[in-house]
Amino acid sequence: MEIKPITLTVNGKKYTFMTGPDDVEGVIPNSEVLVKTLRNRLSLTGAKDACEEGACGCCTVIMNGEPVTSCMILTVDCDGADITTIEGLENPKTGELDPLQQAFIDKYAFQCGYCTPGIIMTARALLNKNPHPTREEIGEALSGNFCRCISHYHVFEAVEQVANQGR
Amino acid sequence: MEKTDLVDKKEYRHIGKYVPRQDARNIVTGKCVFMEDAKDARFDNLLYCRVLGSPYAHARIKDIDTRKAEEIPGVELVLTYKNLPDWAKEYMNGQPAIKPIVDTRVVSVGDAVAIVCAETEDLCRQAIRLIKVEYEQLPAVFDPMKAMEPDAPVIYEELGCNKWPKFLEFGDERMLGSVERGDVEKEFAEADAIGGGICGFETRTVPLAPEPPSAIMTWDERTRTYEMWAAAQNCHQLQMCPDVGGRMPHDLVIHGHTFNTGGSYGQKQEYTLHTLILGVLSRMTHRPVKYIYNKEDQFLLFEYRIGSRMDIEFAMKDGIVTAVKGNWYADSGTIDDAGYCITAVGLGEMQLALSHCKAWDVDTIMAITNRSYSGTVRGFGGQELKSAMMPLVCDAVRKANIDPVEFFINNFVHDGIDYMWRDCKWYTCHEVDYRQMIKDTAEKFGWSEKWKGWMKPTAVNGSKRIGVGTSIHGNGDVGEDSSEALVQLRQKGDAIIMVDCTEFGQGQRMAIVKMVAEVLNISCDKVHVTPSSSWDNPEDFGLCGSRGTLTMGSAVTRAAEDALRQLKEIAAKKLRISPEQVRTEDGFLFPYNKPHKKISWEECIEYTTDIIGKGQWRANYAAPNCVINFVEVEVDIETGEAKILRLVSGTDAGQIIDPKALEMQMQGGIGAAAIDTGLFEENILDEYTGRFVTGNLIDYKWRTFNDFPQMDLVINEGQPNISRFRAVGVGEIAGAAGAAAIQMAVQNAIGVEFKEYPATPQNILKALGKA
Repeated sequence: MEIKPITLTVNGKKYTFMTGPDDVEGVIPNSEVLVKTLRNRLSLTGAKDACEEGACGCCTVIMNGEPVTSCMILTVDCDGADITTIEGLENPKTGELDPLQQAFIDKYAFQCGYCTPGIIMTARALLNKNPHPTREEIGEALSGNFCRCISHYHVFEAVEQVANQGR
Repeated sequence: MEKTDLVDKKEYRHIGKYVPRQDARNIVTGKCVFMEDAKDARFDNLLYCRVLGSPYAHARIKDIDTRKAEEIPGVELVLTYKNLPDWAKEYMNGQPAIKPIVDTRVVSVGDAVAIVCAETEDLCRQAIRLIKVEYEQLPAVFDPMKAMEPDAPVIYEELGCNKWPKFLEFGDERMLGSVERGDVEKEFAEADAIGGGICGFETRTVPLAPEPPSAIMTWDERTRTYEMWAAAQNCHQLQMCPDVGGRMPHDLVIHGHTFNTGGSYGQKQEYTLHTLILGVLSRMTHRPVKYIYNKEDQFLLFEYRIGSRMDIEFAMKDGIVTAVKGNWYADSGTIDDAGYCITAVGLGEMQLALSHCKAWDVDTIMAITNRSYSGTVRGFGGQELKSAMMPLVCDAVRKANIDPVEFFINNFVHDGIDYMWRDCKWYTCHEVDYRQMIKDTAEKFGWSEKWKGWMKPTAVNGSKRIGVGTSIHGNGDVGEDSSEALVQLRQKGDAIIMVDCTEFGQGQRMAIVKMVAEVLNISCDKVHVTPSSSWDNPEDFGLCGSRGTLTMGSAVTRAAEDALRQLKEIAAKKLRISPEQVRTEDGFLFPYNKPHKKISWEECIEYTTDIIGKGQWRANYAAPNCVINFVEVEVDIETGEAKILRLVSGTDAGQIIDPKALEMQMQGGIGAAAIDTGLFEENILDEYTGRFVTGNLIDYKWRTFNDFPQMDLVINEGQPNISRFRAVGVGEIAGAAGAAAIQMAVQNAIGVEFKEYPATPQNILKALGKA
């Protein structure tokens, strides 16, 4: 197995890492999943490493326009990827929130808030592709996001608030 | 008794209005700190641990060889029964304490055979693979009734049988183990309807908080003190192992810290297994040690709801339950972490539901089986009670041909009625009366049009049958245990609340901010809450049993009032008026009729000093809460498929503190192993191997975003005079009775007796004689 560089663009910033076999010190092991890289190496802890089996959606980030569960993707396979995490949604200069983040506050669309970054990222990816989704389309898009407190009804309100803008 | 719920609802500055939580921005930007996000120099030099779990439900370890595992560089310790230090044998699980953290016997699949402590989790896993164990497999038992038969394999030899002795103490309370009073036989002889039988709620459902349970502990030998950080629902409860049941030496102190916690639903209350394991490992290694569950551990090793099976009969006369007799059997699995406290609360709640009943002979019996272990779960005693009891009591209600809504109105507790609560003391219900709320919720649901009688569908469309059902629940624990708080007023016109309050979804930290801001008449932005920590805050029992609104709310309110009283006394001297004439607003004080003569808090509070007020709440169980669930279900009698068409839940929460938070707490009754345990949630145990076949997030069924039914809420705002802001907490009970409502709806839809949980196609077709 070779040691090779990969480049990721995360929230608009380019990072180059060396990747290689698991027993080589000082590189990202080939077995490392993206959520670990984001959390442990870039300190982007908004994506949660909760189920480790792609079932809960708490680790969702947007990769090349698609919402992905970052616990199921090997970092080594992300060479050239453009990744947006929850930390990348607000305006880094002004601190202004993404309208979807603001809608989640306006509608109080979370309870414990642990699954919220994943829900927001999935919904953001949907809205990027389909700015005015129906309630059914929102439900389908979020069907891989686990929320046990039951914030679902308020999440629908928040996403619909953004979906209805500019209609 | 003069009713006070007629008091006009007040207009408040903050109370009753939606104010975004102080952690809202951090939550939506991913900056909110949960356990795994926390960085702390005290976590340096951290060790990790993993458990080698038993592959068998019941076995004796004949020998264990850990040498190869110990040889791996980075493996600090492999703990087994062979090298468990003598002092660590005092770290025992169970109520009463019975089980060391590693032993020669293993009593469930996943039970600890060895515990590996190493520099990384991967090293722990690697080491576990190298441990060789020789087992003698023993017969296992999973049914509580079979477990108590004389020839059943005994799980704990020292007990001599698979039945827990009644261990009935908790703190300074003696817990209720049975309800025995009145002339039961006479009431049964005079009854005009008798019903009941056997019903169980034993599907091992899992609250399944999204954030994995995890904890770190450190040990200080000199002070015999642990420091513990945990993804827990409060800090005080982390001290429970030394405090209750002799599970650790009583003199040990555990200082607890929490962060924001990613859901709990009661399950992250005590952290017993983490505390015991990390308590031993951190003391042995003199290093901080972390134990984090993955999702499969969470299914296998975290506390389950006790299994509940009732064999009880109910006598009715003139629409009132007059006598109850029988036994309530609980299945603890291998351990019940909360002991008989769970059924003690349930027995209290039974009396609230059947509040006019004077003749009782109900005992609780807790069996031991080889199914994982049990403890605190949302609905503590209540969901176990209502799911098993409601089908049985409704058997009598059906025979008496009484509408269940009418039955609830005539039997549920209201002010003036006495009951014995979990602490064996009598209370008289005061200030709450839910009869109007029940009627309002029934009307919103359209009950009178949809209810066609017992065992009768509301509508039939080919193979599709629509049925309706309802159930009710109430809990006196809204006033349980003690809360203490300090409120500090500072020169700049702001305030700090010192209280041990962890945020894990209810928005309780914001609720107390609003209460204090209301008392002090300042903006919510000017009120801060200390981090949740038992080290830095006064004692508090924590958020459970829907208690936070009344108990913690009262403590902080009284602390703010005490601080304001002191401030006004100082201001009164400066303004040359009496303290009663002083008003305050946004950091200024002035005579009530002369707002222009204002002086600032800064002028009243000396430089580098502050004012501290103290507030307390002491346990009081006399104002129970109440939630009623209505459900409309469609059942296909060809396929057995059932689905919820509509839910309506109702409560009277007293004064609403925050409308959006309350709404979500009520909607939360669907999830976390509550209402859906009536419809599809179950954790299937393979009784041949003792393993859960649905013990992961993919195989365990949970409701997804694209499958949410219409849900309507009725929230009344009576103004019970139980606290300054007259509010009653309801979060825990939002779905506690929901499974029973689904059971009733399915029974009415299919027209035959149905007492199964959940309403899977298999169970429905079985009831229809088709499977």
